[in-house]
Amino acid sequence: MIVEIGHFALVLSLSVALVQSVLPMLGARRGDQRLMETGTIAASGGFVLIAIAFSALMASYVTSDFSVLNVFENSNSRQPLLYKFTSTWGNHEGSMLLWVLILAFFGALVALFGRDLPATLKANVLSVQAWILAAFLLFILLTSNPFQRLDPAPMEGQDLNPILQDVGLAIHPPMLYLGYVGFSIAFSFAIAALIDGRIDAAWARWVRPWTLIAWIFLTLGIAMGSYWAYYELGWGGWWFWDPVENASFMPWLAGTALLHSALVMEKRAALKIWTILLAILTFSLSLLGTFLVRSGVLTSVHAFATDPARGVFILAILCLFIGGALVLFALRASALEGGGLFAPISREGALVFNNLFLTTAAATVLVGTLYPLLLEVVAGEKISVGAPFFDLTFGPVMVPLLFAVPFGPLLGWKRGDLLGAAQRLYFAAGCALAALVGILAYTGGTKILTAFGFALAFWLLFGSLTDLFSRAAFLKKGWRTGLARFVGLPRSAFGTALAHFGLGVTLLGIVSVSSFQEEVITTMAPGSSVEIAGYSLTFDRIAQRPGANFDAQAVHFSVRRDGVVMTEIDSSKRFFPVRQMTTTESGIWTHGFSQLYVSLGDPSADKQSIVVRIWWKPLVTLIWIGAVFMAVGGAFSLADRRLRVGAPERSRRKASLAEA
Amino acid sequence: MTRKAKRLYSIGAMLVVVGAAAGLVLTALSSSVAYFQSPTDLVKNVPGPTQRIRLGGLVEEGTVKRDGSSHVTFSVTDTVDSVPVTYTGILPDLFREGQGVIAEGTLGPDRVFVADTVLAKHDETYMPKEVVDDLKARGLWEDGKGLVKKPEETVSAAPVGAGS
Amino acid sequence: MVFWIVAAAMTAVVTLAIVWPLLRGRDEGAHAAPDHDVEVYAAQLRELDGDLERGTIAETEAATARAEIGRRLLRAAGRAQSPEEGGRAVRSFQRPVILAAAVSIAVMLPAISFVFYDTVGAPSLPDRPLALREQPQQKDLDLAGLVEKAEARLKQDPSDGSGWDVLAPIYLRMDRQADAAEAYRKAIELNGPSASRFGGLGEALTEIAKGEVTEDAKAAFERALQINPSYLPAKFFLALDASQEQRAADAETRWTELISESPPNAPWMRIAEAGLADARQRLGKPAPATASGAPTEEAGVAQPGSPPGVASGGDSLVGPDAAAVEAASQMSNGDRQAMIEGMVETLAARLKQSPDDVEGWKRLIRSYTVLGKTEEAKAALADARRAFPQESAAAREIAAFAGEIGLSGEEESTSR
Repeated sequence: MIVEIGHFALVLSLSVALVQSVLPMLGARRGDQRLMETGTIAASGGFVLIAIAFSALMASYVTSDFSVLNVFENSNSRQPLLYKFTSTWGNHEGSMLLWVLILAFFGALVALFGRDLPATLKANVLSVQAWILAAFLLFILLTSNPFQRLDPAPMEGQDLNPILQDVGLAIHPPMLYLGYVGFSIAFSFAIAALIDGRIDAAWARWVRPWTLIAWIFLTLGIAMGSYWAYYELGWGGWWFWDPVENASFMPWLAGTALLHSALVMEKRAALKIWTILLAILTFSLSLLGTFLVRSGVLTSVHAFATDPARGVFILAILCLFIGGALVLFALRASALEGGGLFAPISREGALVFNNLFLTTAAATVLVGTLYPLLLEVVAGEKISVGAPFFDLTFGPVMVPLLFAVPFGPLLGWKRGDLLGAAQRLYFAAGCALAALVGILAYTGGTKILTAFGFALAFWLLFGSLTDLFSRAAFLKKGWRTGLARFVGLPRSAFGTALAHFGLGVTLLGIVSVSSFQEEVITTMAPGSSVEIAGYSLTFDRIAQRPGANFDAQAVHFSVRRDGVVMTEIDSSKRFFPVRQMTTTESGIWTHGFSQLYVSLGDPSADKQSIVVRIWWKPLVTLIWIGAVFMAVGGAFSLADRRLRVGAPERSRRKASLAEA
Repeated sequence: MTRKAKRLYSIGAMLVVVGAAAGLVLTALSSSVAYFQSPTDLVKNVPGPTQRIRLGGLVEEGTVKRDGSSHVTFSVTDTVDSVPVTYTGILPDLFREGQGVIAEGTLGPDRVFVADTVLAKHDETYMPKEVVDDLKARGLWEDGKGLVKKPEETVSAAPVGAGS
Repeated sequence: MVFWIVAAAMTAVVTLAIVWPLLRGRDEGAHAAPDHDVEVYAAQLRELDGDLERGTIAETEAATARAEIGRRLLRAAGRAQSPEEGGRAVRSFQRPVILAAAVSIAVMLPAISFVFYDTVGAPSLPDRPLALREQPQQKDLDLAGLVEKAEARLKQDPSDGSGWDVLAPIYLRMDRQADAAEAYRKAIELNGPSASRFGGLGEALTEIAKGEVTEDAKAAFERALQINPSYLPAKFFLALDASQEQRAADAETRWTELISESPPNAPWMRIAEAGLADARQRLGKPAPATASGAPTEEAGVAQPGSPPGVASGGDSLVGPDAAAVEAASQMSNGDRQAMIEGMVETLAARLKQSPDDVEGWKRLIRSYTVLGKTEEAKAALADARRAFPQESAAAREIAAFAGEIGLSGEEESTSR
């Protein structure tokens, strides 16, 4: 019965979403408070209903109820409990349900915490949110229903794709969806503003924190996904410029731009129209990502069960929302009021610079991802666009942006002093120069690009901290006053510094790995050793280790440096009999920020030896640590008192007016 | 500088950036993309030695040979022609004889394909899309049935509702 | 029933909650948006003062910011007061209109939900968590119950071809072979011929004949092959038939063909290899080299259903029959039974004709043991003893073998 109650709740939530997509907006047009209020209730109720549906599906997974087709196809009774939970979204249908759950969750947040929003804005936002929700609920119920039943029920399921049997699945998709779907709020606000024909003062105050929340999760989600692919695929790569990765990266780039332009809008009421356009584009890219991943139009290393019929449905949703939003934008944008003026050299100017480069970068990624599709449709030719393309296009676009990052926070609003900012960056420039010279000397002048890469990373690292230190004025006022001032700095200043610092950290990791990584592929037998990056790896033994639903063949290595055992590494291959699939569990030893990565290949014909691939990856973890810094920076920014969502409480309204 | 001039300058600057990016994209597209070809295509039209190719097809049965180290040779076939491939490194977990595969690399002067990347299907039901399209176009594949010459794999009528 | 109550309750709660605000008498009227802007800007001004106090913003910066916010505040305040901008909207709907909306929601929302659910849902289907089904009697009851239900449905509407299609393999698994054959015939009649239906029919007939591929079964398999020339299960049974009828040359070609066409992990691979070896032996050819398919790691994976003696017996003990049993344990009960029994019958028949085959007897005895047919195993052991002279090497080998697998000679003598 639980299954069917979940199914019914899902259907009911569709009806509720339909009501929600009409009534509040009607109320907003006529200023009718009663109709507008239905939005709040419908949004919260819809969320509860979808949560019931999701819990029901999860319950069927946990109890291995194979009368549910989705459970039968994607789980197995012998799976460990954690994977029974995560199997819920380890497949197309279940993950779509998670997708709408999060969409409804964000809608409910607006409904509950938006008490102080202007009522018409809130009602419009909730209606737009309900359009998206209704479209995707319809998609789920018609083409990818997770509650389809099997009668009679089979005794055993077909198991979760072994590659997904990992804690990564517990964290990565929920994070990623919180990011993807979180941008729907910015989108709904943009559409609401366009429909209403005006941008409230509260608009900018709301859009930025919500975008920030989505951005934090997307950042962490992408980083998590990257690390997961890094250790699970056994290829030692952390980014493949694969279409599925690009699908999540494009909204990130656009979302980052949105974050910065919303800042201008909030502080200076400028760039309003651009911000609205960016909000639309960001969520459109999220939708595009959903389409690319699930329609099967692209070849990707990150598989998802695909079905052309679904692709057509999502494509229709995509065209409806993106096309509709852009048409609405074209019709209504001119009716919106423009904003404040600023000089090219100013904080605003810097943020425009940031937006220009970020959107251009997003556009190059978009071209690289969609070009093969277009070419196939137009010319029937099949090509693939891989890393070389993105190295040639995305890289050069990012370099000027990264160079400019430290300047931004040092420039004043409206009119900035570039020279003054440059003077404050002397120290950072010195560090960068030292890094440049140091690397050139270390490599004997052979790796010029690497040296510049390191210099840029150090420039970012120290440049982003410069603002904090110069504002605290440690040098001028002594460390005691300086410390007091430092602590008193607004949290958003820390947020900016940390996020930009994180960018530098990530860049340092990328440059280091791509220039100084070492790799050995060789055949090893028990007792043999191999040298890499000053370490000596010895193949100790090979052993069979059965798991709950797999058999593992594990190889035990010991790592020595100058004859002293530093650590031991286990690397294994797992065989899953249900799916007749093998997965690679790479052995990784983290030493400082660097890693030694061991991945097993095929055994030789006589089973006496095995192919082993070993990488030394210097500073590789910085790539993901940098992303964590960025997310923490975002959280700091979010915690800034001045960014708290919502307008002041009503009770204080009279007093505040008198004060003004 | 008047406001109008300022605006013109900033728009001009933006156009320069966007134009430069577009230029980069175009050069990169002409120089660094890989073309998908089937073994038959590759046998018919021999590409230049630097042209990157994605060779897609099935791993021919009985052709996978490991020389005891990390060096592997196998043949990729579309059931009409086949092309020998050499590869150094670890093959993907799902690399198997008779299964779909994509090898990326260049065709050497000796007509042996030198792959630097080998992608195999990602799960049991997955075939590289290009391979399926190509086989379909030549009538060697049917939707829902798979490879036409390949026999059914199930023993008897499977339990109700099986299959994905 | 409980389901419908819960569903109705959910619908009622949701509908009421949404309709509730509409039923409120008077509309308070929305706050005009520019009014709201004034609040936001005023709050910004207060925050600015706070920042200045804490010293986190420079005096000059604060001054410009204050001027900027002040400008916006004035503009917003001006708009709030001007009637055409601030007084926009608030033309609330009349009460009858709202009531009509409330009523239509109260009707439409449940109606849409129930109609939609009715098309996609399966309200009568209970949950079937595995824990519940693993209790054996429960499971049997369930299966029997389900079959009963299906039968009742088919009694009402015997022309429901898909119903027969579903039921036939279930019968086969429940060892109701006669019913299975009948169901397959019905399915063929109603849904037209297909390889799997004819294959299933053949299997059912084979099982009725205790593993022997009868002429009828053979015809069915041949029909299956006509429809789909690469339908492997049919090929398997036809090859089995050839072995059973001791057409060695035919059997050899059929087994060879089957092996070459099957995927290496096909469940019948071991049996096919054993059959091929057997056929070759009869033809006087050398047995083929080791297992052509299944890599050895897979062979090492103990199947849950295989008897422990087989899985852990080590290489010397695992003969082709044991391997076949192991492989067969991956298949459905019906298939497994049919194949194993077919194999064993073949072997037994052959040994009756040419009893001077030590290895053959050993295989037969082990097969019976593995199948749990101790009586037959003992009988076979007795036959084997009779086949060889008392003190011959072969007899000693048989005796040693019997001891090895636990059929001791003493037991043997007492049973005799």
